[in-house]
Amino acid sequence: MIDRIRLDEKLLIAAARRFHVDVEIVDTSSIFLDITRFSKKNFNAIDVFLQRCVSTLRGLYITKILEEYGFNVVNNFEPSLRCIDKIQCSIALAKNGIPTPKTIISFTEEASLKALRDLGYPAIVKPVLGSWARLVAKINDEDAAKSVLEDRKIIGAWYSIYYLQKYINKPNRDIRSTVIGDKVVAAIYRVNESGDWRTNTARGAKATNCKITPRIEELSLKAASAMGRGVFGVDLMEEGNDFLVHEVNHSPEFKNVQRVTGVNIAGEIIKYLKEVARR
Amino acid sequence: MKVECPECGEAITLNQNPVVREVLECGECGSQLVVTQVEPEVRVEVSEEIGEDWGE
Repeated sequence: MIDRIRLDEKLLIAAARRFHVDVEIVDTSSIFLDITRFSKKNFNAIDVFLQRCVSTLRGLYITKILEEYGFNVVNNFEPSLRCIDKIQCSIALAKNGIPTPKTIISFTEEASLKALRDLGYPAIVKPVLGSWARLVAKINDEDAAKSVLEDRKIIGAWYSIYYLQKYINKPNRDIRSTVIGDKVVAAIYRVNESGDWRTNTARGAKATNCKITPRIEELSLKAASAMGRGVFGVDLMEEGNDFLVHEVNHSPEFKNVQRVTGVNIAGEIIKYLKEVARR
Repeated sequence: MKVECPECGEAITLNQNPVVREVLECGECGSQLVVTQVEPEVRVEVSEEIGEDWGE
C-alpha cells in the first residue's frame, strides 16, 4: 500500500519480482473503502499487505480497516500505533526493561516548567505524534522553555501533550538498526557533522555502516519485540559504554541502510512477507 | 522516455516503466515531482508539500 513510490518502494517491488512474488500496488490516493459493508472482493488475491504510506495516519487507518476485515498487514495496527505514539512507545520500552531516556509527560505549561526543572536543562520536547525530527526542540534554559511551550499550546491540542525528555549528551551520531521478524539484519550510524544535534538523515545526517555488536542486537530485538512482531527501524543512542533506545519506527525507510551496508533489506522484507503469508 | 518539468520546463529522463505515484526530482530546478499518469502518456505534477504526518 503506497501513497508515494520512493526508492525504498522501488527496491521492494524489484526484490519481490526477483523472488517471483506477485505484487499489486495499491495506490491509497485513489481508493475508497465502505467500512460498514466492506467488500473483500477487490483484495481477495492478496495474501499479505505491506503498508508503506508516507502519511502516517493514512497508513494507520488503512491497516486498521483491513485487519478488522481479516487481512494480514505488515506491520499490524497495534505495533504500528505503539511506534507512532511516542508515549506508548516509551512506556513499552520502559516496561520491558529497555534502557530509554527519562521521559515526563505533562499537560500544561506550568506543569511542564516544573517537569523541565526536574529533568534539568538542556532538555528535549517532542510532539507525541511526529517523524523526521519535526518540531523536536532542544531547550537550553527556562526562558526558551517558556517560549516553546507557549508556541506548542497555540499550534494545537496534540502539541499540548508535552513529551519532555532528558537530553543525552551523545556523540554527533545515533544508530538505526533494522529488525525484520526476529533478526537484526543491518545497522548504520547516522552522523551529523553540521553541528545540528539531531541525527535524522532527513536533517542531513550521513549514513555509515555500524557493526551489530551483541548489545546492539540484544537491545534492538528487545525494542522491536516490545512493539510487536514485524519490520522496524530501532533508533539507539550511545551513552557512556551502553546504549539507550529512544524510538522505534514502524515503516522504516531503508534505502540508505541498504546502500551503505550492502544488505538486501528489500529482499529480507519480501522473505518476511512470504513467511507471514504462510502462517 | 522524457517528460517536461512542469516547474521549469526542462526535459527529465524517466526510466523505461514509470509507475503512477513514483516520485522523482527535476535535475535542473530541484522540484519534487510525482507521476500522475502513465497511459496513454506519462504526466508528472509538482509533488504536494511534506505533510504534517509524513514519516516513518
